[in-house]
Formats: sequence, C-alpha cells, structure tokens
Amino acid sequence: MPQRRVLLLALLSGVFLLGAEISPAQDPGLDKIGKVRTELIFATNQGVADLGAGVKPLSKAEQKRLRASKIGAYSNFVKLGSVEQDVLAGYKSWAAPIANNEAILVTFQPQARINKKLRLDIELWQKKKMVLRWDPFFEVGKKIYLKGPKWRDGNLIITVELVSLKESKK
Amino acid sequence: MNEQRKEELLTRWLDDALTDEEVREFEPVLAEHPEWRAERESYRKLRSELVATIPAEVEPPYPDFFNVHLQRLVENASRRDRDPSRSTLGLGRLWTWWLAPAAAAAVVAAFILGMNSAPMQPPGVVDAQGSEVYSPLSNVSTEVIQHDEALGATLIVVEGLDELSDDDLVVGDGSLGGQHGYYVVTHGEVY
Repeated sequence: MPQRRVLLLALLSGVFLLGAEISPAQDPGLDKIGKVRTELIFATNQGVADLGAGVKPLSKAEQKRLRASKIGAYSNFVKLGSVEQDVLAGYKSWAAPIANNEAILVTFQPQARINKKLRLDIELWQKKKMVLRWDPFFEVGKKIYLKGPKWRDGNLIITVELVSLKESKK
Repeated sequence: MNEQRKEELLTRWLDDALTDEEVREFEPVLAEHPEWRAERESYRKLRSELVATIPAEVEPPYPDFFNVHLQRLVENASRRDRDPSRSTLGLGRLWTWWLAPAAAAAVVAAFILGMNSAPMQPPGVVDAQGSEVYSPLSNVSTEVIQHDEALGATLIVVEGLDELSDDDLVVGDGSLGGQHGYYVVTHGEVY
C-alpha cells in the first residue's frame, strides 16, 4: 500500500508539472496585443430585403463615402457580417465574418510593431483557397477596404480595422 | 575561350573561387573589361553588409511570396540584358549571373528594412509603403489606392476573383456576429 501511495503521488506530480509546462498563462504568444474588427459588406444596386433579417445597412456617412469612392457606382451598401476579436502576439488568427460560413475568411498575424503602428500580415481566403496576401501597417481606428469578389449583381467588400492596440511593454 | 567557359569562370571569379591556373586563364577577359573589378567590389561590399545584418537562420514568413518577388527582379534584369545593343563581346547573359545574387540581396534587404520602417502617412490612411500585395492566382490583379479621397481610407481593388454564388454565401438570420479563432502551426500543419 505505501508503494502505491508513493506511485500515485509521483504520477500526480508528473501530471501537475506537465500541465504547468503547457499552461496558456506562460505562453507569451497568447498575449493579447489588440483587437481587430473584420466586416463583410455587400455593394449592390438592387433591393436588399431578401437578404434576411441579419443584414444591416451601413451608416449614412459611410454609405456616402463608399458611393463616392473608387469601389464603383453602387447605391446600396449593407453589412452582411462582422466579427471582432483579439490579436494574439504570436499566433495567426482567423475571422469568418458570416457565422457558419467559410466562403470568405480573413487571417491576420502581427509582424512588426513601431510606436503606435502594428504591421499585420493579412490573408484573404475564398472558399478555402488563399487568394490574396498583404502586409500593411495599421493604426487604431484606421480601416482598410478591399473590393473583393462579385456576388449577385454587386461586389463584396471586406474591411479590416485595428480597433485597439495595447501599450507595448518596455 | 568559348562563351560557356567565360560564363563559368566569371561566376566563380565573383565568388573568389578560381584556382591560380583559372585566374591566369581569365586575366585576358578581365583586361577587356576593367570595370568588372569595381562591380565585383560593390557586390562584395553588399554581400558582407547583408551577412552582418541578416541573422544566419531566418525563414521568410512567406517563402513563396519572397520567391515571386525575387523572380520578378531577375526576369526584369534578364529582359534588359537580352537587348543586343547592350551586350558587349556576347557576354550580356553573364550579367544575369551577377545580377541574380545582387537582386536576391536587394530583395532580402528590402524585406528586412520593410519590417522595420514606418514612414509618416496622412491621418486616416493605413501605411501602405513598404508593403506588398500578393496573389498566388495568375488571373488576379490588384490596385492599391493608398488614400481614396472620398473614402478617406486605403482601398485595394482586386479583379479576377471567382464570383460567389448564393450556395457559397448563405446569408440569413444571425449573419452578424461571425466566428473567429487562431491557428497553431506545427510542422507546417494548421489546425
């Protein structure tokens, strides 16, 4: 019996140590350094009522800017999906703006950080195929727009915005 | 001396890899091109600066992106050398050999510098300088509008992507509030 007790203690110690080695709290790659918001917008000249209750029109100000931009002559802009998530220091994150749908996926991974700018490697995936890669610097509150594939009579527009950025540790 | 031999000796001369006998063999060719010595010195200087700057083992995050960019530089250099009016003594092709490592060095240097530089940009604009847009699909073209005046933001226009159908993009109730996660890459596998 005493031997079994020793063996059990040794086993539990090993399990404890193993758990300690892979603890998320000790993985600096899981540090959250900021937040990113990814949105999927549909630009169209037709009605949007049949798209379902889940879509939302954009603000009038943003619609006005989009109409005047080089995206093209569209009259209606609606948001099909949106997701906001943490940016992890050492891992590539993915975002699917529409729930349960992987037709459009965006991945991003932080690369370099200079003062209040964060360089993100962004990949656009369409139907499980990587179609575009880009690596701009982001500042908080500054969005990029990407005029993507056609759908129905219009275009899908993907936006990525750095919502917040933690102060860097020095 | 035939062209192939000249090419071989030139390549190895650039890397200081000629034997004494080969140096004597190559001397007459060098005598006809005294400017090559200065070019080699520039190449040596660039090489040593890169060795001092770049860590011994660094895997570019996106090797295929890196290779496409490098290949574009080499092809552009080769295209310039194919112009008959520029070649001398039929050795125009040889400069492709010299330019390839120099082009590789330039791309690596630009890659490293691009990672560390952040020039000032007007407010409201994502810094696009020093960044690259890349697509593995040959039919896709991109235009980066760093500051679309009307939008007040950076816009990338991508042409050539496959059109999505309603089957691909089922949109309905609850479409807002998408999903997200993160990848852990182990030995090239993503899960």
